[in-house]
Amino acid sequence: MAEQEVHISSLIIHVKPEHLVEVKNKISAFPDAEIYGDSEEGKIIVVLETSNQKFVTDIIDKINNLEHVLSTSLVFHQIETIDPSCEDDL
Amino acid sequence: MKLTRRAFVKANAAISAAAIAGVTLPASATNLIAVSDETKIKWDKAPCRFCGTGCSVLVGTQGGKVVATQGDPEAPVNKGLNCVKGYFLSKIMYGKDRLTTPLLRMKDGKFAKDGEFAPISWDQAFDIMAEKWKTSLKANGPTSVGMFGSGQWTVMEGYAAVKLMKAGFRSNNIDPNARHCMASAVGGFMRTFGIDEPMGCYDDFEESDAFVLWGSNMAEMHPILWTRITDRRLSNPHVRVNVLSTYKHRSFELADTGVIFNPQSDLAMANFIANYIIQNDAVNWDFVNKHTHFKRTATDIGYGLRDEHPMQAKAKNPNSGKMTAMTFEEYKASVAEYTVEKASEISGVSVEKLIILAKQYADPNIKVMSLWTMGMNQHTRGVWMNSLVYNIHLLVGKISQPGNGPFSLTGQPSACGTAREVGTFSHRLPADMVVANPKHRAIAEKIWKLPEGTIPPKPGLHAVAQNRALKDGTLNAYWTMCNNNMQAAPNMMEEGLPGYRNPANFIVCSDPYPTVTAQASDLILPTAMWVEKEGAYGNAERRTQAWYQQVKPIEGAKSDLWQLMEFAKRFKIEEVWGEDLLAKMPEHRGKTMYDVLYKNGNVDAFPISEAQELNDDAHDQGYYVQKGLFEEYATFGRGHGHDLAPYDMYHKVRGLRWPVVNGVETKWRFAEGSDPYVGKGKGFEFYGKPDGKANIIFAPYEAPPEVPNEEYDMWLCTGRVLEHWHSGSMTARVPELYRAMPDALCYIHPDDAKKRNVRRGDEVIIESLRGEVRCRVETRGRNRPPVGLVFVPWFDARVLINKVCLDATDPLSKQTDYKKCAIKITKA
Repeated sequence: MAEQEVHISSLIIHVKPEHLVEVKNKISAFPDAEIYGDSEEGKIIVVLETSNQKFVTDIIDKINNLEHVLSTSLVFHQIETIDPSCEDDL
Repeated sequence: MKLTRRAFVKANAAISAAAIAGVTLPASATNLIAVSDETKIKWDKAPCRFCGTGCSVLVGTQGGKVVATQGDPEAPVNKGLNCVKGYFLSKIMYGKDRLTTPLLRMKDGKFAKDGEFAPISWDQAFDIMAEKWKTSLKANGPTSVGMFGSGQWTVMEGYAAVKLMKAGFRSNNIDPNARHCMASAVGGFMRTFGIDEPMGCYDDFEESDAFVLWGSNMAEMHPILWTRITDRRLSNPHVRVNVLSTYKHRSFELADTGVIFNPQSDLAMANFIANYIIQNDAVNWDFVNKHTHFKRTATDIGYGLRDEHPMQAKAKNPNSGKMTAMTFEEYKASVAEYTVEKASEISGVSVEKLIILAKQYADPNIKVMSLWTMGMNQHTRGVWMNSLVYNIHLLVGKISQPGNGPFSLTGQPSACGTAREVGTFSHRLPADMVVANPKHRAIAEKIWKLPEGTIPPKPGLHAVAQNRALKDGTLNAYWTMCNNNMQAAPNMMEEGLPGYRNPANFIVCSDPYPTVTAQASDLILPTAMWVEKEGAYGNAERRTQAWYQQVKPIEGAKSDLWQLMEFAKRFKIEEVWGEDLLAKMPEHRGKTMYDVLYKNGNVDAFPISEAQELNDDAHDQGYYVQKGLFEEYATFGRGHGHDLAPYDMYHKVRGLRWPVVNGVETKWRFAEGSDPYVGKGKGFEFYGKPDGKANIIFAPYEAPPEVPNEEYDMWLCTGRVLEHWHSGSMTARVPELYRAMPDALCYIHPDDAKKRNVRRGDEVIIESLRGEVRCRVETRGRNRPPVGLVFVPWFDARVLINKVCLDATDPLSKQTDYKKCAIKITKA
């Protein structure tokens, strides 16, 4: 089976604190985005997992354009090559 | 615990982000950190290749290729964060059309100006170049050769280029693309303070109570610094953010006060704020009396157009930067004219908003940071405007203190480090010195071990003047390196393109990619970039950062430094210097220009054993060339307020802010206790000026050269976008960034679109007196111009908006005003 490329990256999203819950709900609706944590000051930690074909920036752009989002910063990016037939346990 | 590798990487990504954001993750996520990672990635630091912020990134290499990047958690600038461009940084080197061989326009196996590009060897490339340079020097002298350089050159490359041009070829016709972005800032600093670059630093972001963005869109252009402002604003409810611009953009999202002003009217607003401070008795007299002088500047100085241009011919004092002393009472009377009503009338900003703004500067208990970039610098009165903002800060003494200060941001990674500090401008030498000053020339000649009289005293051609001289046929052998000036320079169809294609000229372009500029040239040299070589950059807060080479360049590509040095080997010193100079130092007879400039005991002082194993430039020359160049260069500033640390130290730290004295960096210049150059008991000392006092310089509002009329009825403002860096030559080759922002759009108000019978997505023709482009309109995007103005970004090589732009410059700084010209829009 062919190897598959996976892009894993993490973001810090700054939102207006009074709209934290609302923005979190909207981000959760994106299939490739997962929320790992947040803070009262309006920061949300999001991890993205996208395949090679889907571009990371599409989601970033969508999140960035949500109402009440002030900024999106990227922290970590790794390209993983995974053979889906035998994903190892660590 | 069963855990897939994928889950592990995801948890790792989340933990990195959370640590940086100060967010606590649920225990289930943090447990994963115990699992060790087995990846064989080698990590090393490098400053980002893009803007002037100077973020440090960790570059992960594997198998000779960059495979991962991460915001550097140890970096004080970005504290582990990356913007979207920095995030895809590694991909800029791997565009499909990377150049791998020199290309020459040829016909029948020979160079022909009207030939087609064909591959040649590096040897052949230098042969034809040397032949053209020698012919030009013989026929028309040193002023017929020139170079256009870069704020993206490493410090060492810029320095080597200055020596090559000013001492080797004895031509001051070298200018950086930073002329287009930072020249007005330099002018403002030199006139007000007598020394270049900001007094404060990024630490101000966490101390300030109010931020004022004068025509800057930091959310897109300096996203990491914007994150720091956002953090400050959200965690401290008393903090206020004021965003001033000629159109609404992303930074307005965070703004407590958003201000849309008429183009050019910032001059009136700044003078009103000064007037408000005086009228409301908010002047800090102790500070003003001890540390400032009042001056007025000559007015009606023209617009830096060609002398015969009617708008230029009308000026009473063309290009005059003359300043005359005035009293405080005279200054007070001069700004008194700028009442809130008058400022409101000129700017179109409500009286209420102007007062909100002025109050923040006037209140002694509010620490204010003013920030600006191109909106203020790309301005036919940019030098004036920079000083008008300094006037405000000086009147209230809000300067050189944590959280308090004017801060001129930069757009290129080493606009400060290379263009400004090294002095790659046509009038400058290292450490703020100028060619017109005989003492400065003597200092440079002594450090360079060259005969007295080597450096010509007359300033050379600046950026816009170079294109005009190419067109006029007075500049003939021309090398453009590390920039994309055909796309970047104004009035392309009337000046730039005819200049490059003039049969009297031979144009060489060094670039990693076939840019618009490369395609308009005669010879293209494939160039190594970023971590394919060792280098150093200097960012906007005076921070010098160095990096090691981390990968081999793409096969065939060579660094700018290698190209400069190898070219120098092609000239006997007798071919570039006259008998008079040679007679003063006969020991140079028979040597090459390379020997005289670089094998001078300074540049070649450090053995190859000190360099990394992977350092192509050093191994090619046989000595640690980057260190030698850096150390010789650093001699200029040490002991003179521009002190740099020993070169090796920069490889160990995440940069240091100059002056670095006894290993300690300086955060706030001109302030006692922070800046070692300030005398004891002085409090503040603006030591760039002989008496330690800064100038408060009055300059009035003057109209822009070209304003909309009945036919050309709209303002055009050009600029940048988040996803692309400048002309897009690198970022457009990153598929993710290209896809996120593929085309330049014309951002227009819905009413203006309706009036011209165009709808969102329709193609339009944007036309000025000089040229036209076609692009699609956007009425709902991230930029929302007011009625009467459109915004078009300039990154798109298929929408060459500089065909339309006017080549008017600030008459003092010679920097182009890309923010204002008159256009008309019709449906295509």
